Amino acid sequence: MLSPQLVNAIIYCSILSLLSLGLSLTYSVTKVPNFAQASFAVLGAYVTWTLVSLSRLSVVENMLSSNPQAMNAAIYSYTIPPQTYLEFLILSFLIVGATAVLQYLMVLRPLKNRGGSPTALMIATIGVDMLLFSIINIYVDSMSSHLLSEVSSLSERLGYSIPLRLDARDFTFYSYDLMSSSGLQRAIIISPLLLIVILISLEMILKKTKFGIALRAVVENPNLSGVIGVNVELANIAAWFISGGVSGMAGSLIPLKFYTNTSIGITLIVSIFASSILGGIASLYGSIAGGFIVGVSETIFLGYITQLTGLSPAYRPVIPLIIMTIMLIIFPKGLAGIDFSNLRRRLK
Amino acid sequence: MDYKTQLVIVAVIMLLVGIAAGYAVKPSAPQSAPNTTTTAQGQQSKLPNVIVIGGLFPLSGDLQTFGQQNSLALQLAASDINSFFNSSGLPYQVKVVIEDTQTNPDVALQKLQSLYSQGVKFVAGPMASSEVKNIMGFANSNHILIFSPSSTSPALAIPNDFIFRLVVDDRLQGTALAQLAKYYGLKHVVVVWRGDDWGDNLANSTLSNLAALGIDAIRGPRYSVQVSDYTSEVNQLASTVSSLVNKYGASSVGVILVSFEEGVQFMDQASQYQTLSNVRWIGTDGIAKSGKLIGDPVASAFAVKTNFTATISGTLPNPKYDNLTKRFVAQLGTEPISYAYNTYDIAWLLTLSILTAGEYNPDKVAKILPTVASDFYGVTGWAQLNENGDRAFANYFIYGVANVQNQYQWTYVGMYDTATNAFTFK
Repeated sequence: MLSPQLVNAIIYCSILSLLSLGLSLTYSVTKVPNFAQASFAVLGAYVTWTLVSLSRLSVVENMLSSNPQAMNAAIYSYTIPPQTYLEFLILSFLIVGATAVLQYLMVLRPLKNRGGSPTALMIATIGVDMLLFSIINIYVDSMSSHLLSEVSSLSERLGYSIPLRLDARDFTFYSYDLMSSSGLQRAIIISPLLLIVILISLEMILKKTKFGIALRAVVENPNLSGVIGVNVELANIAAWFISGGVSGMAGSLIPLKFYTNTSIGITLIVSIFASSILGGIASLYGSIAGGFIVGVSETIFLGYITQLTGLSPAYRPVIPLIIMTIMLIIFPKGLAGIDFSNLRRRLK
Repeated sequence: MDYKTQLVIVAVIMLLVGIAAGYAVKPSAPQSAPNTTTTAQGQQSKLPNVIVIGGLFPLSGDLQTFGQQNSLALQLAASDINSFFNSSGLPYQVKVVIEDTQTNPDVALQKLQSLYSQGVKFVAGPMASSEVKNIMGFANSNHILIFSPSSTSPALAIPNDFIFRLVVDDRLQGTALAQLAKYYGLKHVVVVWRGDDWGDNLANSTLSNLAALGIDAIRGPRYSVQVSDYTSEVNQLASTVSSLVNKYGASSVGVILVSFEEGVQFMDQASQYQTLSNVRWIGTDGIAKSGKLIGDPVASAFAVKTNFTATISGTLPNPKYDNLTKRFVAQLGTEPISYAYNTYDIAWLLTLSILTAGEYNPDKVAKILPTVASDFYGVTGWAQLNENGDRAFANYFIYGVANVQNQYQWTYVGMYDTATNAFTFK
């Protein structure tokens, strides 16, 4: 049996690595750190919320002819069906990927074409972040109100209060993600598996396809790539789509483990940047390593420290800030920029 | 990435954190005072014909369920008061304006500023002590009368201010929790608490009361209210409880969880530890009768397994209380927490005090409110206030979770009488 701390670390590290991978991907092609990256994750989280809430509601609708006891049993024993996992992963990829492309096409590209500096573009991403935050809140409020009125009308129809809670904020789907056989969460399998699948896919796309080679060329030198006939715009759009899609899929796993609300992006953004900066913000594989190091520091390492010293775990948010500060001062190019052989020579 | 860009990135991250903390609606421009009534003699009364009462409730966040119940209570009270005005031929109407504080002290302040800019000077709420503390300065300096149904922090028991609370403060709940632990035969109790004003005060009060009763009171983790994952806290708690259980046995060890509804997530995570499932858990008014808890299969099952009971102050049922309960159940499908009844009485107390003062004037109303309250018998019984403007007396009800016909429900377990230190169990 895996310890709860290890389970938590695996899920958190996988999600964080995917989110920092997304950030590094867009930074590589656009040279702009995207502050809306965490909101992409929140968007993915609410795709999951929508699909799981609808799935739970459908359970009730299918039990309308049953007695209250059977209805209650069905509500409390609900687990997320396997196809729902697939649906929210795919839908998150598509919706959030499209959102990222819109951000690039409607905000960053026009600004870039007008000569906007990297700082101006970066600030524009904060604007997009705020816009996304508002849109998500509006959507969540209206969808939540619709779902609650559905439950209410079903309760009226049946003549008793159906004990189905569909909270839109401060909720977790932990209870619905458990495997009855082992008591373990499915997220412990899905999250690392998703990371591996995405890594292999990216590796194959970047190294084995013409499109991937073109994308790498754009990352290395966009001007020269354009001269030799690479469609730089298409490469940019594709990079933003993949980045958004990956972040959306990572975000869609958040409600399975964490207490989720529309502002969870604020706590995530610091860890995402810390992971990216630690790995080397322009390095895709470095960001994965960064995600794991920051994730382990915030979970397992913090657990040991609190047990050894009695320090309050409430200091957790400080860890990514410390990592980020140290890296920016000592290794501004992150792990990817360290010449380990040179460092070894110096230490000798 | 050059050094300048790195600095900007760090600055922007800090800025984002700041923006998040301060996110809220922009207060609108101040509005003119409501229309006033003209008497038969042509003299203008100082009392407006529309009495506006603001409501500051957490319709989202860690007290979401309770905020929704209190919001409904205020609306029901306004409807009843307006029926009373109509049947009495009085030319007044009560209008309520409700804002969502998101269980966030900063948002609560911004929403109060928004209400004030609309001319609202009497407010029912907010619910959390951290919210009340944050709006206290603005309310006192702008003479806005705040009447909270549930803020229980002893630190806010201050005389001669504009903050009133129709609830007893947590010094009594600390006693009730410690007495309950003693009643259950616990000898070693770990207290885990929410890191805010309310949590700190109640945890300290509980710890000192436990120690006074000769119980080994152990400080467990104090968790941040902003985290979305309690793994480290639960792990630390499991480690402490495990060593106590190994030394003294599970029956003499217990956990007191001082939380709002985020306690549900805490219990979800605690359910993964066998040690934590084998000891008794006690909760507070922040989670008692929480709809979120009985809606969560894992947390509910954990609550049943650990004989979880939670305390909340309240008064003995009476015909008015029973009648209101029926109306709540018709609309909510469940009985609300006792603080919703407090909100109902707050609306009546404010209206009667404004009518008695003859003016929509918080200075005058604040002076006569204790007198009006001392003669008022509402759905929560006698509403006498003490020198700090807080409710003078109350009992604590104890609720547990049970599985009734495949549905988890809160069930009444018993009552603790603060005056006699005696428990009455069902």
